[in-house]
Amino acid sequence: MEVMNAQPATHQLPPVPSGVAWSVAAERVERYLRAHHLTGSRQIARLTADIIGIARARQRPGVDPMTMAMETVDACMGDWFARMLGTGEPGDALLLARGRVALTMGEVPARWPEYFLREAVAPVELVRVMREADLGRRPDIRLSHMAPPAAKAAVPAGWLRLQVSYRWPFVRVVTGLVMAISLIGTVWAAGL
Amino acid sequence: MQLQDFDPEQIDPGVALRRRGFVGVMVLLVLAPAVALMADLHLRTGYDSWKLVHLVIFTILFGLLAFGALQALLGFMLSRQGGDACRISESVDWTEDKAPLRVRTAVVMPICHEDAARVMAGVRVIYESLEADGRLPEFDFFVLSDSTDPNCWVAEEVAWAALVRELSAAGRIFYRKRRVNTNKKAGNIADFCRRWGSHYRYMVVLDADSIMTGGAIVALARMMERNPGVGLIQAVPRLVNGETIFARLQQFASRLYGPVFTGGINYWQLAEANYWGHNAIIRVAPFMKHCSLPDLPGAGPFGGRIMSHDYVEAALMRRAGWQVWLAADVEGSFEECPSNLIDFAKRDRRWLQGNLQHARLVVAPGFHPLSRLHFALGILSYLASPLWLAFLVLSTAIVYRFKATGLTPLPVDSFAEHLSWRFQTEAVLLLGLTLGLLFLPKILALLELRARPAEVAAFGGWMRLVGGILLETVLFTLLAPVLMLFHTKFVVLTLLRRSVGWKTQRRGRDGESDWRESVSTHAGHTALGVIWLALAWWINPMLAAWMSPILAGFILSIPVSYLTGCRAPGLALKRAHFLQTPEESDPPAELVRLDERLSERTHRRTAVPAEDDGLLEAVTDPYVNAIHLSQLRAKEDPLPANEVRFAVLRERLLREGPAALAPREKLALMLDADSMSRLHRALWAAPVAELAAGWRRALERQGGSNEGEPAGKHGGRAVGVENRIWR
Repeated sequence: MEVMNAQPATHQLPPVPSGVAWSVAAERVERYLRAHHLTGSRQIARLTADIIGIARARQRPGVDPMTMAMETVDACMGDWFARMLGTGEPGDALLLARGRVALTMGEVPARWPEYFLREAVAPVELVRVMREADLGRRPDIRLSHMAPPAAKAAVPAGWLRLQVSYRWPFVRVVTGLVMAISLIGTVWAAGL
Repeated sequence: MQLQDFDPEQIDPGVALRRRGFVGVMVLLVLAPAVALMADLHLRTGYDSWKLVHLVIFTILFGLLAFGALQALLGFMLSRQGGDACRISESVDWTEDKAPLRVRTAVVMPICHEDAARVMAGVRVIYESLEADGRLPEFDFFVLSDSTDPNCWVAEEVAWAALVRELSAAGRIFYRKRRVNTNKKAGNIADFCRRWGSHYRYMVVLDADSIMTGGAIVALARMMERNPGVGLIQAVPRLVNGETIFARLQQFASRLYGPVFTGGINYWQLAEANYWGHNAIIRVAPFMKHCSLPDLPGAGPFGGRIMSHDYVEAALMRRAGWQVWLAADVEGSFEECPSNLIDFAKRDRRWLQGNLQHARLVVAPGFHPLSRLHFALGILSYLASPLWLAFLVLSTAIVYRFKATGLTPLPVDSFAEHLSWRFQTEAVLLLGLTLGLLFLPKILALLELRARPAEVAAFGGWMRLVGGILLETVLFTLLAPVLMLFHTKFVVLTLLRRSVGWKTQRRGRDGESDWRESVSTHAGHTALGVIWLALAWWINPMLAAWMSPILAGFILSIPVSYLTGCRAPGLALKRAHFLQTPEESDPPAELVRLDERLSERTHRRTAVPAEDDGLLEAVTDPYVNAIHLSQLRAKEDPLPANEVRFAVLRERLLREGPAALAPREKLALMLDADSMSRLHRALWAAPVAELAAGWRRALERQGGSNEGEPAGKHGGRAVGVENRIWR
C-alpha cells in the first residue's frame, strides 16, 4: 500500500537541501505520527518514508524541508480524512481537526493502524466509526428570552444600606473606629 | 395511574397556616420561660444597658436554638406516625407508576476550576446509573464550564472527550465553555437555558461534587410530571466520601440527625420550600420566565449581582405561583463536603456575603412571606456568629462590672419570687434548658433509630453510634467557636465592602489540611483564647470555667483544625468503623463505582501540571488540539485588526514561550479557533532553534518514545494536563 498522495507532483524537483535537513524533517514527521498514538515502528517508518518522498518530490524553492514535510503530512491527512468522513475540503483546517477528533474518538490508530493514511479501501466499520465521532454535535440552539422579571424595581432603593460609602479606606477605617468607640462609650456611660 | 391521597395542587391553605402557627407558638412557648429566667437573673443583680443588650441577643440566639430543636422534634413525631402525609413523594403511586417519562430532561452540571477527573467521574456514574435503569434516552447531560485557567479548561475538554469515547455517548453528554462568565453559576445556568432550555421540560441541576442515582433523578422527574403546578423540587443531598475527621464528622452528623430535621422542615415549609442550588429538579419554562436574577441597586457587596442565587430563584418561582417542595425522602442524592475547617470557612465566606445580600430582598414586593423567612433565616444563620461573640463579650463585661461593684449576689428579689427559686437554681435551669435543646436532636435521632436495627448496624452498632455522637459533640464544641470567629470576621469584612472572590472549593482527596496554613490562620484565634482565658480567670474563676469549652476551642484551634483536616486519622477512624454512616458500610453501587474511578485516577496521577501545561498541550498534542478546536466557534467575519493582533501574539508565543504573554492574551488565543489551528501547524513545522524552550520540551514529550515502544513511556506525557486523565 502507498501513502495517499495529496497532489501528484507535476513540477520538476528543485535543488535538494542537505540530507541532514531532510533527516531532521523525517524525524519531525515520525514524531508527529507517534503523537497520533501510532505505535508500530515499521508502519511509522514506512509512512514517514512515503511522506518524505512526496515532500521531496514537491519541494518548492525557498521552502525548508521541515515546512514541506509537515505541509505534506497535512495534505495527506486532509485527503484521507475527507475520504473517510465523506465531507470537507482537503486543505481545510477544520477538517483536519475533525478528522483528528474522529481518530481519537474511534481509537483508529489502535484498531485500524494498517489503514491509517493508506489508499486501500477502508473497512465499513472504520468509516462508520469515524463519521459518527463528532464532538461538535450539540442540540440545535433555540435562543430563548430570559430576562429579570422585575429587575431593579423589585428592591426598594436604599434599603438597609449598612455599608459606609466613603471613598478612601483610611477615612472609612477612622470613621468606623470613632463610631465604635463612641457607641461603647455611650453604652458604658448609660450603664454607669 | 392511581391517584394518591395527597395532591399538592389541592392542599388546603389552612393546613399550612395552622402548621406554621403551631411552630411559631411552640417556639414562643420554649423561648418565653428561657427569656424570663435570663431576665430574672439580670433583675436580681440590677438592670443596666449592658444587660438589656445581653438579654436581646440571648432572645435571638435562644429563639434560633429553639426553632432548630423544635423542627427535630416535629420530624421525630411525624416519623413515629409513619411520616408526614403532606409530602411531595406521597403524590405519586410508586408501585404502579413505572411508565416511561416521555419528556426530555437535561442534567446540567455547572463547574468552575474543579478537578476535571472528579467531575467526569461523577457524570459517568450518574450516566451509567440511568443507563442501568433503562432511562438514558430521556436524559441529556451538559457540563457547563466557567473555568478560565487554561490547565483546567484543557483538562476538562480532554476528560470529557475521554468520557464520551468510553461511554459511546456522543450526542448525549455535552460540554460547553462560556467565553464570558457573566453572573457566575447563575449566569452559566441562564446561558444554558437561553440556548437549549426550550428543548427540555425539566433540568436537574448538579454541583461539581454531586452524585445522584438514576432512581433519584427519575423519581424527581416523575414527581414533577405528576404535579404540573410544581416548579422546583429540592432533594436532600447526603454527605459522602469524607476521609478526614472533619468531613466524616459532618457526614456522620448530617446522616444521623438530618432525617429528623428535614421531616420537621417539610412540616412547615410545604409548597414554599427552598432551593439549595443543586441536587434539585426545575421546570425549565417557568424558571426561564420568572427566575432570571435582577441586579441589586448599588455596588458590592450588598448591591450588584446576586451571589446566593438559589434562595432568590426559589422565591421568584414561588412569587410567580409555582410550588417549591423539599423531597426529604428521595434516596440516592449525595454530595461531598469540605475536608477541613479552613476550607469550610472559605466556602462560608462566599455564602455569607450572598446571604447578607438577601437583606435587601426581605422587604422586596411580591415575595411570599415564607420566602422572606428563608431570606431572614439565611441571614441569621451567619449573623448568629457575631451575635454569639457579642453575647460572650457582654457576659464577660457584665461579670466584670458586677465584680467591680464589690456586691454579693441577690441584692433584689426575683420577679418570680413565688416560685421560691434561688439564683443558682434559675441559672442551672437555664443552663439545663439550653443544653436540653442542644442535645434534643441527638436524643431524638437515637430514639428514632431504635425502630430500625438494621440501620443501627449500618452505623456500626450502638456502641460506635453513641461513641460517635460523643466524639462529634466534643469536636464540634471545639470547632464551633472558631467558626464563630471566622463568621464574625467575614461579616465585618463584608460590611466594610471587601468583596469575596469566586474561590474553587477543594474537595475530597485534594482538601487536606496544611500545617502552615493552619498556624497562620488560627494564630490570632489562639492568642485571643489565651488572653480571654486570663482575663476571665482574673475577673472570676467561675466565669473562666463557664467559658472554658469556648475558650478551649480558641486555644486549641491550631491542632484541632489541622488534625481534623488530615486524612490519616480520618481513615484510621474509618477503618475502626467509627463515625460510620450507612453509605459507608453499605454504599450504593454509584458511590462504589465513583470510588473505583477515583482510586484508578489517583494511581495514574504522576505530576501536578505546571502553569502553562494546558496551553502547551492544546497547541502541541494533535488530539488535544483537535478536541479544543471542536469546541470553538469559527469566526465568520474576523476583524482585520484582530487578525493582526492575533498574528503578533502567536509569533511571540512560539518564539518567546507562554511566559511572555499575559494570562488574558493566552486566553484570547485559546478562544480563537483560527489561532489554535495555526499555532498547531506552525509549531510542528518550525525548526527547533526557532522555538522557545517550553515548546521544545513539549515537542520532545510528543511521541518521544523509542522504536517499538508505545508513546508516553519516556518522559512523553510524564508531566502535562492530560496525563492525569487521558487514555
